[in-house]
Amino acid sequence: MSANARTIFQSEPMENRVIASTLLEGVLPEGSLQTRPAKILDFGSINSDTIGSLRRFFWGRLTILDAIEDGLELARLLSDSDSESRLGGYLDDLFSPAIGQAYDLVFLWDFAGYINNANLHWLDAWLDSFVAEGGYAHGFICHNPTRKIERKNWGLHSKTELTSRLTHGFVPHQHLRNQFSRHLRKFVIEKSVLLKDGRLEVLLKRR
Amino acid sequence: MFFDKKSKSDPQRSHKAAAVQKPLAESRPLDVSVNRAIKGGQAVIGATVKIKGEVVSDEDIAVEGLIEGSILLKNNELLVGSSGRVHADVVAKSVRVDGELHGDVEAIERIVITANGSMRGNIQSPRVILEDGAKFKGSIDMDEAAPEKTFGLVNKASLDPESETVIE
Repeated sequence: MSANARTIFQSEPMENRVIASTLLEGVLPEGSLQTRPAKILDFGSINSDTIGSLRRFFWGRLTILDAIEDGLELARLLSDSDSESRLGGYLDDLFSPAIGQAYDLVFLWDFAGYINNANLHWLDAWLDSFVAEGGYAHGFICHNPTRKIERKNWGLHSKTELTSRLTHGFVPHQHLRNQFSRHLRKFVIEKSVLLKDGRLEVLLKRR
Repeated sequence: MFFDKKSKSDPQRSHKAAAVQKPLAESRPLDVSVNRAIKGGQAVIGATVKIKGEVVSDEDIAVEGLIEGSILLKNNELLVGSSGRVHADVVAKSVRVDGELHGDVEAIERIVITANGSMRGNIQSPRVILEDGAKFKGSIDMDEAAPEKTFGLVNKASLDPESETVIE
């Protein structure tokens, strides 16, 4: 394949890719070990891999927000003081299925990459309201600020694997680990793994 | 409330079906004469019809208009057509969403959300079938420990192999 052909090919949406993930081991609720139904919150869109894999071992409720694509509008409203009146209604609508719930695990995927640095404290507060005491959040930030992060749709392939599919464009904001943990004060980065695409996969535990 | 019944998972079939996606252009407004999804008795709620209240039926219902309230089709199928809007809680044997459905759904056999379909609400069903591009916001209850015999597997032949991503 020529370089040009490869470039064109890579710019098209691709098939799902599966990558190993060791961060979720012991964190994903497993039905055989559960004494109560657990709750998982997914900020991403409905994903057949996630539902299919959870169906095999999970007992509880999966809530899907489909919020990633709304991240840009949310970031605009958060940064615009004139939009304050609209912001409340927008947030209520965006998070309506999850409001008032406490989740054992939250999949943020790339959501943090849609929030600029100045508004990460907002993510800290909202995440804190969703994650149960002792609960976890999983997502991606970046470890190489010189490299753009390509947008991907993410899902859970198995207890130890994630699936991703390349979409168009790039994640707008990049947060390095230090920056991120400085703003997310109610969470601690318990584990992290460097990924080849420039992402840093992180597991956050609620303090 | 968590769902207490489910069918046996079959990763091989799920994987195979996941690779097949129905082109968007194949979706079209419901036409009773060409409706391939429903056999036997069927009521069609036309595109200009609006119903508010409780709908109970012993035959399948295809909605191209608007229903607000609740729908009970314990032994039958609800089809929300491409121009259909259902803002109601639904109990049905199976549900197919080509249009818009806002409300909680208990589908005894399965629920299908097509590439054109958009759903907001909570799902209780042993089988959730998604097409690539389906929109969903809400919750899905799952129980890995439930006995498969409670519902058993849905007959494979009853699925449309060209259009579905199958999740069990």
